[in-house]
Amino acid sequence: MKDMQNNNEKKYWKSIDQLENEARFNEMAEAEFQTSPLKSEDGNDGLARRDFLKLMGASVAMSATACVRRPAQKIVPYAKRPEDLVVGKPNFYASVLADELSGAGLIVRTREGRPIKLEPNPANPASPKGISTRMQAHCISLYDPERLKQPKRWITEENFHDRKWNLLTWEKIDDEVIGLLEKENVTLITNNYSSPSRKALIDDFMAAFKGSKSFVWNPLVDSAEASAQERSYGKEVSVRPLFEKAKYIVTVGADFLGEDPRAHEYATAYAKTRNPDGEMSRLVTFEAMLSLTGMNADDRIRVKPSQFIDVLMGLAHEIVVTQGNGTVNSSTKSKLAEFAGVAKKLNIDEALFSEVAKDLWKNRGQSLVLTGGTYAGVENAEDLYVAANFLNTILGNDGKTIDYAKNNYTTVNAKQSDLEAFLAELKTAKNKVLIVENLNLVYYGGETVKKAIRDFQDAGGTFIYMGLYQDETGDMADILLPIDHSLEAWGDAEFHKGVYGIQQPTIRPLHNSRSLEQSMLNWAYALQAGSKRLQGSETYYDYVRSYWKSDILNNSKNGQAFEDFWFELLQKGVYGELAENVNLPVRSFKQAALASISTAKSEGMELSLYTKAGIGDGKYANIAWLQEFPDPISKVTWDNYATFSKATADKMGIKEGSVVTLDVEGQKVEVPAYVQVGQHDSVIGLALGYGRTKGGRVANGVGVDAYPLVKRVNSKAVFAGRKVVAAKTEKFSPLANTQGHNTMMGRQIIVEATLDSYKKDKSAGIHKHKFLESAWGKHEYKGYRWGMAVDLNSCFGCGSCVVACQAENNIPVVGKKYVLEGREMHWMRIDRYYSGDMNNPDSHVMPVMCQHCENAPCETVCPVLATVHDDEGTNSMVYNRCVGTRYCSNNCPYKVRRFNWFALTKGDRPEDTPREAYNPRVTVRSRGVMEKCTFCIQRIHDVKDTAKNENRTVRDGEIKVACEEGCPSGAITFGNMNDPESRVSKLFESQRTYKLLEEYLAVPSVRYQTKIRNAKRENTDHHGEGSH
Amino acid sequence: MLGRSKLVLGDKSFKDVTEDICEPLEKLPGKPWLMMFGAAKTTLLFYFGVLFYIAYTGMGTMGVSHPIMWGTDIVTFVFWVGIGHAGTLISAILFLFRQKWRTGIARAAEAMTVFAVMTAGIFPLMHTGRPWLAFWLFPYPNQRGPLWVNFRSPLLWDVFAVSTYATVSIVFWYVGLIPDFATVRDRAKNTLRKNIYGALSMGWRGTNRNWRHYEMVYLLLAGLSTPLVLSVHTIVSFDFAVANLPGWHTTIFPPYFIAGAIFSGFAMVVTLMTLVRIGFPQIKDYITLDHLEVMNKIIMTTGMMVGYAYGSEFFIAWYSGVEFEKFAFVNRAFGPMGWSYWIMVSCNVISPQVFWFKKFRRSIPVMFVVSIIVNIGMWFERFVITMSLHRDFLPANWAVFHFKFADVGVLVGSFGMFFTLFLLFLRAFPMVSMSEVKPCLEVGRDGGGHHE
Repeated sequence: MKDMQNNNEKKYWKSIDQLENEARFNEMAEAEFQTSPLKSEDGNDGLARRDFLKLMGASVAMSATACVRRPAQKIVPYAKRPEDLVVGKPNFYASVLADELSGAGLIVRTREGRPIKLEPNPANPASPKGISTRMQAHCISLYDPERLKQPKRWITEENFHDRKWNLLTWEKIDDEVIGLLEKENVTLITNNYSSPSRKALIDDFMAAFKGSKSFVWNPLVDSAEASAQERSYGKEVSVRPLFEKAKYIVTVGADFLGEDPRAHEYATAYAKTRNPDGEMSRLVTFEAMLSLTGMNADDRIRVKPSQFIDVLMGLAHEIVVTQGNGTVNSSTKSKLAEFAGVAKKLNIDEALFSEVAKDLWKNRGQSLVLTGGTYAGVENAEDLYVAANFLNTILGNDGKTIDYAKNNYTTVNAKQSDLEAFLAELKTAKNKVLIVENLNLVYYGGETVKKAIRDFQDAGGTFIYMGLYQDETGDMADILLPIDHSLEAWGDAEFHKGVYGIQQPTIRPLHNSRSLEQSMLNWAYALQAGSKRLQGSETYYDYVRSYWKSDILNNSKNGQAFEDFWFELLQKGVYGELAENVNLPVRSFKQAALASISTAKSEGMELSLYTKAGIGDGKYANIAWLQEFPDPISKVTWDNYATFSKATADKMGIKEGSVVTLDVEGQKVEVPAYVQVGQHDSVIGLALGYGRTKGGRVANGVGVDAYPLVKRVNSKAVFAGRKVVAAKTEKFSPLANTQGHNTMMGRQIIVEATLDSYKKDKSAGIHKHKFLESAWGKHEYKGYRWGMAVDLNSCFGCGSCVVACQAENNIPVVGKKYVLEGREMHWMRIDRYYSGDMNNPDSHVMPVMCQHCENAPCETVCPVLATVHDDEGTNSMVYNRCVGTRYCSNNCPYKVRRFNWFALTKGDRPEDTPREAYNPRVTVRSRGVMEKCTFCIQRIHDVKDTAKNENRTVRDGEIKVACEEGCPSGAITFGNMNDPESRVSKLFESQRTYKLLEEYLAVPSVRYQTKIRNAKRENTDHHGEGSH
Repeated sequence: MLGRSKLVLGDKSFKDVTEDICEPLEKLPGKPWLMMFGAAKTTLLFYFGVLFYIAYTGMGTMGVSHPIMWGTDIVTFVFWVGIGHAGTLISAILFLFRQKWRTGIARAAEAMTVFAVMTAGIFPLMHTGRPWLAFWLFPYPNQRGPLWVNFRSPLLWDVFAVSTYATVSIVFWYVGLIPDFATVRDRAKNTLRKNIYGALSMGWRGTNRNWRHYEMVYLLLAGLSTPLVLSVHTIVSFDFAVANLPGWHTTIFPPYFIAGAIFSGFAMVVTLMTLVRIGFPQIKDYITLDHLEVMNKIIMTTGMMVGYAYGSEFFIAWYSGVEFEKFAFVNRAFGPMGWSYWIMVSCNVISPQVFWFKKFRRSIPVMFVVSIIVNIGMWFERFVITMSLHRDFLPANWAVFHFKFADVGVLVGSFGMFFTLFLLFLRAFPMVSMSEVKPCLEVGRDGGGHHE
């Protein structure tokens, strides 16, 4: 059959292929598809269909999602790692910060070789706790992009228009200076310094170039104190008030908690005496403007600067004559008689005045009468000091609460008279080389100094300016030399007699800079001039070491080998101790010193120039942190302003921001006004340190320059009491004030009680709500639960914490324009309220940061869970998740959240923090993201990691959050609430503790302790005691 | 017995109705329309510019700041959402209550709703700090854990409420349009037009079956939208009421917001209808003075309801005994931003009182002015509520709101968007529901004569 079929049937074929090659054709014909959808047979016919579809799908997907991560480019960190450096771990170095008129021991926190934060050195016996706002901010001045980077020479070509700065090498500069020094002598003027090595070096250098002269000057130095000491006791000495021993303090114009350069040191000591459970001290302040001291005083009395002398002499009269205490001679008695009835004359409550006098006597040997500073920088400031000395002597405080010999200050070298002497010296133009170092003479001294330098230059002198910036003074120089920042250089400081600190460099100089000390050594060596020590030291480091070896270690006679001593010193940062108990004999007071004191004439308005906690004398004006730091008293940023009392402002029709013209004996300035309640009605205040013209892009044009209003005559600088005439103009210049309202509106916000009522009831002043039931369940905290106690009784409102927080947490600066719109970013703020009589109100301060509520209202409303509760009680902010609905802030009763309204960290604005200064442990936040206090979560984690590695729990006090660390008075305590033994738990148990807006039931983890005032009157501004 | 006035004037036949209503779609636009459209479109472009400026530079370009973190964006959002209430109320609730008079205005009111909700939707998006990430507010599966949204946050409820409302309103509106689209399709003379309206009408043939399905869907959607009318603004009010801020934290908010929404929505309908009557005179027969009068009555009623709410808030604040609440309300009226409170009260409570008089209720100029005043007032009502932020618990935080360029820009610009859309609607869609109006005609009724 088959054969038949094969042979006989007709054969049909579909194609030639079928006919010719049956096998292959059959295979093909059986297959469903001509080509495989999966894979091409031989790869020659291009892509398979399925592959093609895959690729097409992928390319569509890729073009739709163009956001592909950049490929990882691996780098190897530190092939040869420097010893002691672990990437990601901070290194700490002990150092010192010798500010012009004060100093503090520092711990410098560095990361990967960059100093990023300054913290107080607890080993320093005088200021173990906090450092001031300016010291906190000192760190970023290191990275200021506007620092002077290169030595420069001002070249005058024949054609005047070709004058220009030429960048030169140090070799060229050295050649020129050495050439000059071969022939000429030097006039040197520097800012005040407390470095003994530097003093020795300058003395050595001056000795090497006989005929050379050195001067030390500072615009704010209060040299009346020293001269008054001489007038009173026969010996010039700089005394040290011992606050920790004082039970009764009377200040007349002195602002030891605010303006004083050593306020951070004094605050620590003073806070110790404010324990309401112990023997609490009492502070009575007589002042013209409202200062931090006045805000914290138990009683505050307004007196105008010219009448400060009446207060001091009046108190003396009250004690000696009226109350018959103390022994004085008859001429003194008749002198004091001139000051009878002072209280009446000055319109002071007479009962209070005589009570103060009585109490001073009662606490004799344990009281303290203070005056001084720019607030008291009147024409007869020396008389003020003499009168205060007299009081301290008759009260027996001298040698008890006033240390004049043991650990007093030895290193205030600057004298107001030095400026006059310097200008006289310059006028002679005997020395053809003028070196000004780290002192912005032209800004501080104004036209007089400018002219003197110009004349000197015209007379053929060469003006060498050594500084950190090409500032007002630097701009006039012939040779402009950059000096090292204090974090880049070796140095030392003498805090008190016998207490020294060593300044270690924590980074190599960022720029081509060289310190004055090193330059002197180089020049002396090149000229083979001067002592062996001068020529024999190659670097200033060698000089410091040899000085410490010969002058400090040898004097101490402790027999230690120098290398051991040195190593220990570098570790600890401080050498020497404060005397345990100062008990010196009372020096005999030269009663004749009182003879020239007379009551001052006072009529009309008086000017009171002062410095603000942020800007100080103006040196740090280019640091945006400090410009945006709200003044502790006015809460104004980015400006200085003429302050008027409320009554005067009302009378003159002045509102905050009205521009006024101040006419001080012909010198006129135009400045916006600020209404400062509590100020004396016939006083107008104005802050120094503003109005820089060549301070840098941040500093220039902020505020007005008040230095021309300082009267400098007869070796004195007069800051206060000058006659001023104010006139209102039609102009208006708004002030960037960060606080919206100044009274508590009768709400329980800052709770205050008098000492008497506290003694009766430990929870005096705290209004308790009987029924507080929460609808929420409680969180469970198995391990730690972080909490913070803020003792309002120790908080003086200085604001150091605010800047510490800013430094730690990379908080951006927004600038005046945006502060005016309320966009400032500070994670913590100090709320300041007034109560009572607005002519002389009680002031209350309260640091407010995120309260880390147990029932946090912010957490429930965030739609994307960007703010959540963690299992240790903190309220965490997840920046990456935040889309910026800002609902959390609306629902926060404390309004502590800050929103990034703009991109503030791009580094394209002058105010931006230099990137090098950022803390690498803290995320830099982008635009559109909410942020707030994290309880320094990075610090918590660091310590927890360490503890875990050591297989233990975190010890109480081991975690120090930035604000706590920055606080000089120890008002902030952070710790574990779950540990009943921790300091926070104990403080929380105290009856003085209350929660801010307790009835709101957010149950904050930050709790406050009431402020106790050692005064008679009750504060009535909140809704009282008891409960309902 | 009082006779009911006719719903459609002018003894129209079915053909007349079709002719009247299709006319704007079939003729080139007139000068007034072109001018209005030109103005609206320019404002819309300006709006885009402002939105880009805000998104590019940051939220700080607007007046919002610490502590007033919500401002013009949220105020205007609530304003537009509120306006979006009238349409659904008219079409759904009045439909369920068989209120025949709704037929003349329902279509335009629904369009207004849809556009108002679209306009509103831009604001919560643009008010976020990082609008490009605002999609995180939707609970979508993701690779971050997965990380979900916070279902406790009223803002999230808001996202759901508004998006649901927008969806349902659009569907409802569209379903109602289908028979009319078919009419337009059938009249079309060119192919393109025929195709477009053919596609839009989804193959509507007007069969019995079509009508049965249509009526059922319409009824169901009406039933579905009715609770939404109440829920959307309730939930929008939760944004405030659930927060703890004095001045926000009040239980009266849901009904108060709904009354306010109807109030402002009807005012907006009156504004638009008076304009439409001027622009397209034939529409006067469909949107009659009777319609407008009824709406004016509702405006007056709801105006008094919000007035009652204003008073009640004060009473409750006092009665609560909470010092912060008490202060918040006194401050609202007499504080530094009290001016806005008095604008609100005079616009919302006092101005609608003119509608007690029939003469004013039926006067086009009066109702036009009052309806605009009411909407200004209702914008300020939301502003006043939002501004409770300016003085809350700790006086140190207190501040005052300042308008900046971008605030005015988004407010004005949003009207550009709304009017552009509405003007396009007038020319592209039948502005009166032909299929619903026709049954209301007298034509074909027994006897065919006039009833008394």
